[in-house]
Amino acid sequence: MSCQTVRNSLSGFLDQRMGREERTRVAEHLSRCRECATHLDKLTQLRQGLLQLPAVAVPNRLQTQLQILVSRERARWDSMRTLPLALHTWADNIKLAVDNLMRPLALPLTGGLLSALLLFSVLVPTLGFHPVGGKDVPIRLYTAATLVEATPFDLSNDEAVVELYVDAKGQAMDYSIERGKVSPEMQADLNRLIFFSRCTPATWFGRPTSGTVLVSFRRIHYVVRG
Amino acid sequence: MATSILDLSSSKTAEALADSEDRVLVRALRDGAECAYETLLARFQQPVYNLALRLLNDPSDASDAVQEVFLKVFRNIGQFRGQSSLKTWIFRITINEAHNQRRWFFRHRRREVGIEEEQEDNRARTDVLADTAQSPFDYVFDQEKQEMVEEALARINPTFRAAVVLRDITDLSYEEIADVLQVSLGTVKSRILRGREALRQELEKRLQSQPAMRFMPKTAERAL
Repeated sequence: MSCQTVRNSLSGFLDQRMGREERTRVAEHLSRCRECATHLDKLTQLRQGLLQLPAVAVPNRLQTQLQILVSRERARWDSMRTLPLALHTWADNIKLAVDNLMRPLALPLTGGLLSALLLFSVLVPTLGFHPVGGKDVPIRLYTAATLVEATPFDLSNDEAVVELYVDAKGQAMDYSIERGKVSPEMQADLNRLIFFSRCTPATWFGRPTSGTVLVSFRRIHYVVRG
Repeated sequence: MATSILDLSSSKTAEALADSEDRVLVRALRDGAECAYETLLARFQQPVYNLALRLLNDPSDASDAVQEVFLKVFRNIGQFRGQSSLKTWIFRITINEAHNQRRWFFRHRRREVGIEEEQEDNRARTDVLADTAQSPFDYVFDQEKQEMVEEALARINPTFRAAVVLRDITDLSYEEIADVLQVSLGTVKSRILRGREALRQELEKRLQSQPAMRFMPKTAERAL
């Protein structure tokens, strides 16, 4: 037998896990080969070292945890003994699961709902539309300029549509004719219009600003009979 | 020859006794007898913890594994058919659980770094059931030797380590190991052989790098 073969079978030799013939041959080799005998000694010492490793005591904490496990499993076994008991346990478990699921949500949900109600009740009166009435300054986004009083003089044309440019003081500064003919007489009429008309300026967030007013003039013919 | 026959018959009687004890225990567990749970714990918590500790080399991981093992035993006792002994069945669950723990460790905790300094030995002195009758020197020497063996054991391949631990520490037979590991007898022999060789090499490597404590006796002449 070669040394390698013997060394591969030394583990079995040590545990007495080989046939009588093979064991005899290994023993013969060991009696002749000092290296293989030393190898066997080392393995024997190693095995002794492993066997002598002290048993480690189970930690107290683990013992307690195991006792808890036992009591829990016993309770579980008791609850599963009959069908009504099992159904009752399942119902309890479902209820517990729902409770556990809802409990973390309950406080934020209630808080959120109450906060929303509070905010809504506080904000609702301020969100309402209040029409600007009386002499109050309109604070809406934009209000257009309006014509308060037109010129008292007559126009030479039967019909004209004029766009007036009104400054922040309510004074018409310029005009452009939208519809109608521009004759020299009409030019003079428009100059009078600008001079004598009174307007309310446009406002931007309550502050007067320049704007435009579209003014339409039409001559009206009255026929008096009788 | 007569002695060996006597040994054989006594061992068979012990086996039969253990088998009948197992059957009674399993029946009591299936019936939900409270004392059966206590008996099972009293019989197996120590060997299962030691096996898990040797395989995982970490007391907290071993504790987790032991709890899982007993939970599985309690829940699956109805599926135990008695084809193997109760001991090998529980050890098989322990081996599988240790394997799962190790896999979980490599997936999740490998990159974790503790804030506190790692302790050299986090086992309390009272946790180790050492023989206090020996001399202080023997105690220290044994302690050092044990630590060296344990460290070497922790370094070898887990597959071979399981076989060596079951054979040389838990003291199971080859047949029982084959039953626990669910492998053939040939595989068990091979794993034990390779595990022991790996362990021997680890120990030799360690002894070469760090010579063992040695007393150098001085002669009276040299001392003078």
